[in-house]
Parts: sequence; structure tokens; C-alpha cells
Amino acid sequence: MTVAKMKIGESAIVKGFTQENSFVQRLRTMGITENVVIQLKRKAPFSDPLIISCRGSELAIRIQDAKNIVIEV
Amino acid sequence: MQNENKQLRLALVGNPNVGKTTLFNTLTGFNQRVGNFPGITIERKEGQFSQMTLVDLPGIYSLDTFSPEERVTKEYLESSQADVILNIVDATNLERNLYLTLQLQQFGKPVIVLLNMMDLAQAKGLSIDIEKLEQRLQMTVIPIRAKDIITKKQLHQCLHTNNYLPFEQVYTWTNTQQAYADIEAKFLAGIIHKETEPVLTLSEQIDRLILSKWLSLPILFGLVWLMFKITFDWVGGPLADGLSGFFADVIVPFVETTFLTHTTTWFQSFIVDGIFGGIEPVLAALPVVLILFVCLSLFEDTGYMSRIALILDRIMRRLGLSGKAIVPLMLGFGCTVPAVMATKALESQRQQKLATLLLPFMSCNARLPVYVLFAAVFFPGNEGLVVALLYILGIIVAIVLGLLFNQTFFRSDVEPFLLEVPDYRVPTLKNITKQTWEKGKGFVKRATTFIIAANVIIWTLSHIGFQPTFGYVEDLDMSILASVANVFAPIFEPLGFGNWQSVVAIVTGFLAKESVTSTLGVLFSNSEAELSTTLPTFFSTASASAFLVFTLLYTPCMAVIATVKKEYGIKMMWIIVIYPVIVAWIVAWIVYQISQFIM
Repeated sequence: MTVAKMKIGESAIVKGFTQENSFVQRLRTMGITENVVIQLKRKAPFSDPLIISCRGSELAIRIQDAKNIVIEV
Repeated sequence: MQNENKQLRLALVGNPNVGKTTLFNTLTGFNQRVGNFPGITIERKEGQFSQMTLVDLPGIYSLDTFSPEERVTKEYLESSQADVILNIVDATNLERNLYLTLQLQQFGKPVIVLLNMMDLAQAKGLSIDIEKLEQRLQMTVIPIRAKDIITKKQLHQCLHTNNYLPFEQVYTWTNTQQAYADIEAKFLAGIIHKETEPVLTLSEQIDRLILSKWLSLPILFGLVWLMFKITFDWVGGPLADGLSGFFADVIVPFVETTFLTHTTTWFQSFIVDGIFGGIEPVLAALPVVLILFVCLSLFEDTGYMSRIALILDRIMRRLGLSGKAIVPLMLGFGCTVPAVMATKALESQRQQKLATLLLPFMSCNARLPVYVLFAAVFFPGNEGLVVALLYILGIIVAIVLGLLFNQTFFRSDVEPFLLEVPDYRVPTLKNITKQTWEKGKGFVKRATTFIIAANVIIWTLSHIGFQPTFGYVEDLDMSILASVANVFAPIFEPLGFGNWQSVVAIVTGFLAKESVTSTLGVLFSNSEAELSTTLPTFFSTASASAFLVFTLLYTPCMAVIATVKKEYGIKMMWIIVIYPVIVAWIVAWIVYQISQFIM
């Protein structure tokens, strides 16, 4: 499963990324690394972007990019 | 023997939106722009703080850099000009902030950790064991309040008595995951205590409403509508009218009766038309400009701007931009110069250039005096509506061109988007008044120096002629200026304002947009009649509309052009000079045709 399929309020553990690219690299430096707990906080109106919470900060990412983040609920 | 008292250089480093610039302002007494949005600072700035040099650097998440402004920070640190690194960290978000803190050790300089936003951490039910943190990091840790003057004393003392831990060791990890695991286990374990489990923070509650499916757009439009109402109808507009009346009824008659009764006609005209006639309509718009600025600052300081970026991301994507581009575009309603610089914070060069191309159509506030003047003369009772329509027209033009560019020159796949969403903050009155004061000072300064100088030149050229002999002419139509400008007037004939005065106003507008208004003031006001009575003899309602639209859309002022050249090079500069004039001409022509048909 990926972050794109999470429900609001749901928490999950990050398992990995479908591909390595500069965006994923950026996510990592912002603390979205393997084995971290993330929560889907909210969705923007019209369901995109998603607002996820991780290590105390909130980040907005688009569904299209969220598909890169593999999780386990 | 001379004491080796080299000036200490301090680099201010930290994640975006943790209060670096706020601290910089507190320590140096400067007035750099701050706001509640990541990435406000994009260039490095230096200031003095008790015989030390303080360098404010753009926010950076890590040293594995990506964006251009992050590179500014990294390159500065690599040049090892700084003697001490002041690393501001957000106490509510230590895990991520420490990732950078530990990386900063690689420069071999002492790092002092400044723990900001302790009050917010407490509100979230977090308590932090500072002593333990200091031991584990082997760096000095000082809790601060970036906007509090006490911080200045604290830091002064710490730095002047060398009361801080020296550089200790470099940390290296094989990958990011390992680094974060270490931060969790080795550095932060047992240091942060959650005292209370926060139920639902106020920020979250506000977001529930502001980002809700059905209410987000109505709230956004409602707030923008409110901003316009306050700026033009409720507060700014009436104040501008009052100020304008004060000029016409009190100041000018006072100057005339006290100083000008025994002078020659030409000198009277020089003072009354040349000086006052020009700056009066510009200065009269000052309340409107300032109130609009306050409203925009409120959007930014509260954190609502980030939400606008989220709400409009899907729409912006169609234009090939991301929601983040809302920030430069909104700034464009203030002044295009900082807006062009803010485009640098966007993800890709493609987006940066695209946003810059759309910026000229975000009506900057130096164009406002023209709207205020014309709306009062040609659309009495509907001033607010007319001005709002102009802003909307600018946005529509930007959207249409954005769609067009995105389908042609700027085609590309959708790029990834990542935005940190800050908590809402109550804006401080001090910050807003200080920045508004600066803004007002700048506006008045420009009006009383540059604009007056331009007015004097315009007045002189419009009062010198060759008929019958070289010298002062009473009739402006006989002046040198009129004969030169008349050559170009036919270009604007199809738009309804083929008079030479409009041509001069538009040309001086290239220098500064306020000059459009002041030039009209100099050329259309004369000793017998005021601007409000002479304007309708030169413009019909239709041609006045076309003139407003042309002023709204045509090339931004020289300061913007210089900024574009500096940030994006000469080719981009020429594009920004030429293409808005063409767009302005076409749209003004369409508006003129439609208005003639209706009226």
C-alpha cells in the first residue's frame, strides 16, 4: 500500500519508496525515512494535496507523489 | 602588542520558517521582511550586532541541497567565513531540526543551538531537558524567544565572554535513515517529555474549517472580498478622498496665498501644477496602498498563505505551476520587485520563469493611484467595483497566458511538490506596524524625490516651445514635449486615448508606475481647473477604461526589469519589457471596443 491510499487520521509505517529520485531524497532529509511513523492528517479541498504528519511537522504532498511512498498500516 | 580583536562573524542557520530573520531583526534592529511561510529569505543579508557581523541565511533543511536559495546557504558555510554558527531550531520539531544541526559540525566551527518556540512546545505539552541535550550534542544550547529583546542580552553575554562549547567532532552516517535513527536513539531519547496528550490543537481546528471541501473556496473568496472592501470602500478609500480634499482645499490654497501671490504666472504654474499637481494624486492613494499592504501581511503572517497554496494547488497545476507560486503572485499585488525575487523559491527553473512571466499582470500598488483617480472621476459610486474588476482582469489575463505557455513553450511533466505547512500564528502588531511604516516611508520618499524630479522635467518640457520664439509657452499643446509625444500618439488612437499627454504618462510609467498618475496631474491640471474636471474633456468613459486596462497590464517599472535581468538574464529581461506592452494593447483595444458598444 502507498500513502495515496491512506484514510484521514490513519497512521502507518514507511517501508520504502518505489523509486529513488530527487523528490524521494528530499523527503528523506525531511525525516520521511524507512520505519518512521506517518499519519495522514488531512486532505486539501478536492482531496489533493495530502497533508501528512511526520516527526512533529506537517508536510503537503500531491497524491501523484504520495504513490511513491510504500507503507504498512 | 595589539589585541587580536578581529570582528567575529556569526552565521544564522536553520530550517525554513523557524524565525531566523525575526532573530536577525531583533539583534540588528533591521527591518527585513518576515512572514509565516517557509522560504521568505532568499538572499543572504548582513547586519551588525554588538561589534559582530551577523549573516542571515536562507532556510535550509539539510546540506544535501536542492533549491537555489539553499545553495546560497551551503556555499556561504563552505567558504568558511563564519567564525561561529548560530543554529536556530524549532523546539516543537527537534527531530528534523537536529538533522541539520549535526550536519553543521562538518564545517569545524563552534555551533550554538538556539532553541526557539519553546512557548509553542509547551503549548503542545512538550518539555525539553536542555542540560541533557547540551551534554549529548556537545554544543551550547540556549532557549530563546526570537522576537524578544532579552535574547539580545543573552547572546551578547554568551558570545563576548566566549561562554560556549568549542567545536567537538564531525558526525557521519551512511544514509539519512541511519542519521534519523541515531537522532532518535542517541540524542533525543529521554530528552523530550510529553506532559499532556494534545487533543486537537487550535491550528488543526482552524484547518478543519479552512481546508474543508465545501467551505475552503467560499472562505478564500470571502476573505479576498473583505480585503477589497476594507481597502477601497470602508477604510482606505474614504481616507484617500479625505487626503485628496485636504490637498486641494487646504494645502494648495495655503501655499498659493502665502507664498505665490506676488510671483510670476509661470512660477505659480510650476509650483501648483508641476509640483503639487503631480504628487497630490500619488500621495492621496497612500492610505489605500498601506491598507492593502496590511491585509496582505495578515494573510502571510497568520499562516493562511500556505493554506491558499494548498487550496489552489490543483488549479495552479493546470497553469504548469504549483500552489507555492501563489506566494510570489500574491506579493505581486504589493510590489513586483520582491515578487520576482520570491519566484526563486519555486521548485524548478521552468516554474520560476513561468511565474515571472505572469507577474506583470498582478497589479502592483504603484498602479493603484491611477485606478483611484480614474474611478473617482469616471465611475463615482462604483469605485471599489471598478478597481476590483481591474484586479480580476489582471488575474484572468495571467490565467489565459499561463494556460497558453503551459501548452507551448513551457510544456513539461508535472513536477513533484513538497510544502511544509506551518501552524497558524497570531501576527504581532509590532511586526505589521513596523513593516507598514517602512512601506509607507518608501512610498512617500519615492513620491517626494524621484517623482517630483520627474514632474519637474515633465513640467519644464511641457512649458517650453519654439512658437513664436524659443521660451515659455502658456499653451502646453505648443510645447516640445507635445510635439515629440504627438509622433507616438497614433499608436494609441485605436484605444481611444491618442492624446499626447497619455503618451507621456505611459512613457514615464516605465520609470515608476506612480509617474503615470503624477504626469497626468502635471499635464492635465492647470490654474483654472482641477484634474477631475479636465480629465473628462480628454477621455470618454470608454477610453478611460481602455487607459486603465493598458496601465494595468503594460510593462512593469525599471526596478522590476533590473531585478529580472539580475535573476534571469538579459533574454528574459527583454521578454518582460516587450510582451506585456503587446498584451496590454490588445486587451485594452478589446475593452475599448466593448465599452463603446455598451456605453
